[in-house]
Amino acid sequence: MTAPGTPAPPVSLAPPRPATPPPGSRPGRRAGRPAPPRLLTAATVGVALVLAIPLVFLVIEAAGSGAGTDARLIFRPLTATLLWNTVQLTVVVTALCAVIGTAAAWCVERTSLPGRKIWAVLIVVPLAIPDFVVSFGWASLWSWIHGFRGAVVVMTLAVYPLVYLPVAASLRGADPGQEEVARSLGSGRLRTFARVTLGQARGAILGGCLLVAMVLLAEYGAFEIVGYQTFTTEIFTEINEAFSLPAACALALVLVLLSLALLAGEGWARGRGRISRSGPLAQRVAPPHRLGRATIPVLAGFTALAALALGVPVGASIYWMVAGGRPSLAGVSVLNAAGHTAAYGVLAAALATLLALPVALLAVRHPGRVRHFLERSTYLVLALPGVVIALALSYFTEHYLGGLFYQTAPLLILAYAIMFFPLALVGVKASLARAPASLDEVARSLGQPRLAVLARVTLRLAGPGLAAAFCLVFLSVITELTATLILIPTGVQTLATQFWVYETNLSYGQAAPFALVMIAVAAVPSYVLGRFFDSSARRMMT
Amino acid sequence: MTQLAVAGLAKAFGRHQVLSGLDLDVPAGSLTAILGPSGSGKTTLLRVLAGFERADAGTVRIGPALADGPGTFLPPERRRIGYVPQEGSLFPHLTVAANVGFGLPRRGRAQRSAQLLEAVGLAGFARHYPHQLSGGQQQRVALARALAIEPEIVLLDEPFAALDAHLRASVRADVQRLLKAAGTTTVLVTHDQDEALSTADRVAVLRQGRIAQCAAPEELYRRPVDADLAAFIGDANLIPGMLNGLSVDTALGPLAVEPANAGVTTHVPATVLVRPEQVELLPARPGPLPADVPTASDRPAAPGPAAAGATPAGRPGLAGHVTGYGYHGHDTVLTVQPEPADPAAGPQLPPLIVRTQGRGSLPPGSPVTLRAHGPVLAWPDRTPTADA
Repeated sequence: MTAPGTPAPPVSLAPPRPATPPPGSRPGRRAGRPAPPRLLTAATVGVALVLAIPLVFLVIEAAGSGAGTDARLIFRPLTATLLWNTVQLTVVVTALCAVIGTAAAWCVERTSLPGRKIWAVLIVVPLAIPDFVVSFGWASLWSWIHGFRGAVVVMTLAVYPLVYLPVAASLRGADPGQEEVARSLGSGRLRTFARVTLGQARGAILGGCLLVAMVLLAEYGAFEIVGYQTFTTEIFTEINEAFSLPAACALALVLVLLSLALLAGEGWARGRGRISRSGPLAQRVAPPHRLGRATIPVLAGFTALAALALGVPVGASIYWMVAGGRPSLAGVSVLNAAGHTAAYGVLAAALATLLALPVALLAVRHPGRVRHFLERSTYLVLALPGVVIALALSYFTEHYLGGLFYQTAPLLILAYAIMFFPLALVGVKASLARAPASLDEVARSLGQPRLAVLARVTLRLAGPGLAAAFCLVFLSVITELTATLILIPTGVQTLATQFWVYETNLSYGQAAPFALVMIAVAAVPSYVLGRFFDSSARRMMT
Repeated sequence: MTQLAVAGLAKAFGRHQVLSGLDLDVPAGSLTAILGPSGSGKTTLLRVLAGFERADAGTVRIGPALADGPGTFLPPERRRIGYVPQEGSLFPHLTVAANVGFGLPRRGRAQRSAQLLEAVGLAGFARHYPHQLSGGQQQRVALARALAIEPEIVLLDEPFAALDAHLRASVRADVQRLLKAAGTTTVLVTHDQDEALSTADRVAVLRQGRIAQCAAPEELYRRPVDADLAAFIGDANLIPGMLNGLSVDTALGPLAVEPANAGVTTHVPATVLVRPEQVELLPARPGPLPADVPTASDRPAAPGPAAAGATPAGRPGLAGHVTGYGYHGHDTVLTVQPEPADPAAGPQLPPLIVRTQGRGSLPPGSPVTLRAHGPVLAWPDRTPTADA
């Protein structure tokens, strides 16, 4: 009743009845944004439809071959073997990645680890190395890298950054005050780490694990090299060698169901906990934990990780290039392939980011149940490995466009954009969270129409995040092999396909330069990504 | 001239009715404060005025133009309403000068924004980024940015709430001066009644989705339209009484009733508003007076079973003892529990708030006698509470 300055009297004769519902929720802030612009909704629906193409045609194909045939193709011993192989590998590698990624992120973000900035880059760079190059590097040097064991080693080292990146970002954004409060409440270091720190990063860890598991379900090249059979390798074989579309299709259905189960599980696990941050977003950087005597072992661990994940594949490629001793022939074709790769990468990344923008805008700015569902539906693409998308798109062009776009650059780029749409969406959504709606409102009250506000405020603020999303997709395109092998225009080679041709011919010396160029081309966006996650959050929020 | 006219405004979020039939007229050039507790819909009202939300029913007129009404909705960018959100919401990617110039055409943008920064006393900060400014500075930049488009109306959403207490007064004064100088019509939303009463020309109290009363601050304090409002604005003692034309009988004795408020009715039970400064404190018993407690006389109050005994001046007083004591420098606020009166006389009075100029200390338990001065306000009971 009384304002600060005149302290309230101890007792008041007639305590004022609250004239309105009790305080607490501030109505209007959250519940009732104005309806989203129609253009935005329409664009989102359009994007959702484009993304639905592969799934729809997968179902049409499967329906075409009949339930009996599908059942016969699914219920056979091979399926059980594939299921067991896929599931056990996914579980083991995901768990390993969660531990390695989270531990590394915590050390880099929260401890006094020497050279944190350098590690922040070195730990992320392996993401730039295609999984099949990691596989090639290890398998070409050591014959024991084979089967399950080989697949575990190779895949863990290839994909743990997918956990590291989101966890590092979330730890950086987390409120250090919560840890301090936990300590002050008598919780020890370890307990605090387990209950508070991991709790804060929980969503990020789950998200990272989901990405890892999805990559594992979709991977082809790396497993082909170490001779490990999963659904995806089998589907590819059915398409490209057995030319049995119904079989490929039936297996693809199982694979898609597996991915859907994974998505649902992650959604369920995430839904149980909410990360909250009290108070304004003003960043207070937590004082780093001193590692003390643990410094040397931790440093050794980081060195080992970098050596295994980065050193072995790069070293092996250099070794084979030198040992192969025939650099003369490669020059022109490397350049040629690199040109194609980069062009596809840029176009696909731009397309994917563009497609993600309306969906993310709708999800972040106009939350609602239907719109949430619309947004989640686009994640279904995650459940479709590249091989399935390529399969569905070929089917689509053959049956409905008379083969018009089959094996052309536009179709390949569309396939990439659909495939990596979820990556772009994650990045774009995160970036839009940095551009609060209140700024848009102010801008509009200053006389700026919606589109001008988008250009002058929202996209400016989201810029670094959009660049990151672009880079993520670019990286993924460069290292994509499976869909590329199926959809590449005739007579054209990308770095990945040319590498694959040499690798399968066991021409390691000729394959190696392509691997190195791929690493180099991808390392640039990877470095940008590392820098982005390292610095931008701090810069934007202080 | 009315600059902003709101009529019958309604807005609900789901089943939660936030505004229900709100009317408000804001005269041109005035500074009107919307006062209400958190959750009363102040911000929603402001957002509807700015065009960030659309009203479910009712109209909003800005000058002669209909901004929100059946079939009409003027988007925010065409309302020429300057909006200063609570957090300032400066664009973090733009310099201070670019923030101020955001809504201006490219031509002349630099000069105009320099001018405005000069006016808000931040001429040297043009090239700074928002995060390099203090909270008060950010708030002033936000204001300059809103004023840059020469708006007809400026909306301030609790602009001083985030500031430290010692900054608040000075920033508030600056803002007031700037707005007056610009001649802008201003609507200020706040839950801080001190801020509303001291800053605004007119204060509109928002209650249950409507304006309960809109008046000049003094008017609001001295003539609240009902008892609830009386309790909401400032401290209030609300005691039962018996209304008899121009006076009202209370435990504090008969008190004169404000002429404007006096009814012709007699012998009607009523709720009586006695402001703390209308209550005088007298010593209860013979003996040395507590230091500096103002008294009319040193004669003891007549003891007796009835609480309303005869005081020295011959007017009735109420015996009681101190239960709370708060020293505020400029005045002292005490709570006094009236002594149990004749049990048959009715329910016991709750503690009364008393404000005195005295500097002395009265420890809890000290016996005192209370005496009130009219004229007071009284509202006959049973009459349904007026809702604006």
